[in-house]
Amino acid sequence: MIAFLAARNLVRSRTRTLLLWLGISVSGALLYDMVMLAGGLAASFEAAVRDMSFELRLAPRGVLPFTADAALRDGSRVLAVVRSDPRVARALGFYGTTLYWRRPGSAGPLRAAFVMACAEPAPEVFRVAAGRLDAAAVRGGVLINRHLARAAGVGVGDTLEIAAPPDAQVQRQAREVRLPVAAVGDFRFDTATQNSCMLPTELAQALRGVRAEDPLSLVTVRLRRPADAPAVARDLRARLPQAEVYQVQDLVRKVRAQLSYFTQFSAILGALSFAVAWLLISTLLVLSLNDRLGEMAVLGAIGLRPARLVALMLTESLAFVAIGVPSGLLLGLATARYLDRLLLRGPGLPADLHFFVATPAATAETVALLALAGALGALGPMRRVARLPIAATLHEAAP
Amino acid sequence: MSAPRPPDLPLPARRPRPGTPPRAASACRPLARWAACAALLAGLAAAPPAGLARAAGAPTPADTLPPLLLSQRAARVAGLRAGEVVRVSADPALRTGRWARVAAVLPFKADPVDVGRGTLWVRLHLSDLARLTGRADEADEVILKARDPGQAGRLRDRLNALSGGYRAYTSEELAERTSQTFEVVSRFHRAISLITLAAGAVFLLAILLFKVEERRHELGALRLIGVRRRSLTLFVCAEALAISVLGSLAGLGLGRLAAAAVNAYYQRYYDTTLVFAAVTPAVAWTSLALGAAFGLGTGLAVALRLARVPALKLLGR
Repeated sequence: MIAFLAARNLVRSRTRTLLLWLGISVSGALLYDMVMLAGGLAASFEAAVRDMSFELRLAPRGVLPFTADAALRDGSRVLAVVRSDPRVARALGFYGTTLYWRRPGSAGPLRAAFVMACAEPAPEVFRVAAGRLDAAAVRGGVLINRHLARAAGVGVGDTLEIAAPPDAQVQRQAREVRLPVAAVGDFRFDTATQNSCMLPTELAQALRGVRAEDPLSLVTVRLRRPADAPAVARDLRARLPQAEVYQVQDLVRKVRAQLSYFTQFSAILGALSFAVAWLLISTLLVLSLNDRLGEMAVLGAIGLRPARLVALMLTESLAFVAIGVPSGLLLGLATARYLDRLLLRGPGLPADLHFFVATPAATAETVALLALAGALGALGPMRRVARLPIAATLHEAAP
Repeated sequence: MSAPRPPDLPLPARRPRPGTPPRAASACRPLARWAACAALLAGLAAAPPAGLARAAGAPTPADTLPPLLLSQRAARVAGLRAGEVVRVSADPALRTGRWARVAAVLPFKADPVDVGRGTLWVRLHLSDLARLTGRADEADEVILKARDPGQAGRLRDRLNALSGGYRAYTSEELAERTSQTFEVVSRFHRAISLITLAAGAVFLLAILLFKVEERRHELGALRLIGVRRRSLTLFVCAEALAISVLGSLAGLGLGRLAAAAVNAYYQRYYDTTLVFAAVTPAVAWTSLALGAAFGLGTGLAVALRLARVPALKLLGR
């Protein structure tokens, strides 16, 4: 009977129901977006990092990978120390720097590219679209991303000139090599407009004139048993005091700290959306009840206990929420896509990360919050019907 | 004053390793040279000082040691004061390096790029930094002041024509390039505010509709005694406008309180003097105008809807 009365009230006033549906949809969409934003980038980053299947990462002490000029000196020795641990299945060293490129014979200026140098094939970092990724390709050629391939107008098999920074005083570049393009593909965490390539580590260091220092920007480690990560991290920290050893959760925690602005912002706006939803439901329920006090008194007079009347108010409120939730979630997903594209236009943001990530947890949290708003919105009307003086109300409502 | 530092995003920002001569700034993100030293101290935020340590038995008189300037935050985290002698090194284990004197602790101008990063700033003479890092005769950025600021563009063009080793920008160009991140965030905020406005507009429409519906009998009686529909429409619109303007004014007051609370919280949380939220006159007038427009629009919609209903029907006959 409660469900019947609640459903009947929904269809009784179409205008009211329509407005309520609109209001819950819009505030629900905003709430959903804020819940997604609160953890979206961190979730996206964590998924990308875990997808690479490296449990540990070593960077120079005090910095996150690729965020400063600092490097791990004597990189070969660092790698040897890491690989000497029997729990380590695979370890790769990367040297990040900037070099310049040009098509051979081109009269155009040298243009910059980010270089991720590695001595071995790294399919975890470079996804091949054309060409091959094997030891010969890594040693004898250059791997480039699609943006660089388009900018240079080269494909697999073509030649690219790679040069060290030009010497302004003598007006010529210091060192240059010509390399065949072995593969074209995508690097993890590249920005949308970034020119990137991969060279052998020794060559990149030689071009930069730092071969003697043998620097590495990052060492990635895959373990035979992922569960050994904390123990291996502890041992590596002791053996390599110049390195910062990060487990995946350490990186995610650091990223969350740096993205705390969005988390805080989403919390504030999420609270605002919640308040709007609560106020809307509360106001419409109160207005609806004002029109139906006589009806409530009649229901009480024919035997419905106050607890049932209270349950009726709560059911109506949750029914209001229920009609708005599906459209609110859909609208939230649509606006999230737009907002995500908007934010990803920011410079320096990796193209494969997202601010808004629709996880089952985010969806469940939004539905739960809207239900809570509905329940809180019904508190006033529930209290009123619980204390309704039936006889007096019937007398007032009589025509 | 140095040009604004280009925004640097958390991961994995591609920072170039300096080569021998000044490199093409357009190709990479130029860093003020002293930023390299800041990276040494970044670890202080998370761990016991690795690149900076108090002197135990300073070897020479303090006034002969190279000076360094600390930001207030760096001094607080490292527990240092002006006049103290410290060991500075590019090696986290302090196996190399030299002694230096904290010449002063200064309030460095708050930089939005540093929000959330916990960056600790140190300033050294370029020659001292070069000796510390072993990179002589290098610079990330060279700042020029023209005799005639109006000729900045021509100066830039002449410098760019001279050599391929760097790229020159005017301050306006650099500010525009480095403001892209904040421009994106502004657009994001604007999009969010539009969605919030939509929710508010629905709410306002609902309230006005039910307010008018409550007074159906009264309005029906007025129609029966001869009050014209146009007068009633104007009355409903005026009431809606008054409610929305009063509500907007109350909202402005709430907004100012909220902005003050947001600034107080975020400034403490991020340890900065930046202002995160501000209710400017432009914002206030825009809010009032939008509130009035929404109120008038919804009032008109409701009034016109009511005007179509016969008077007797309003009275329930």
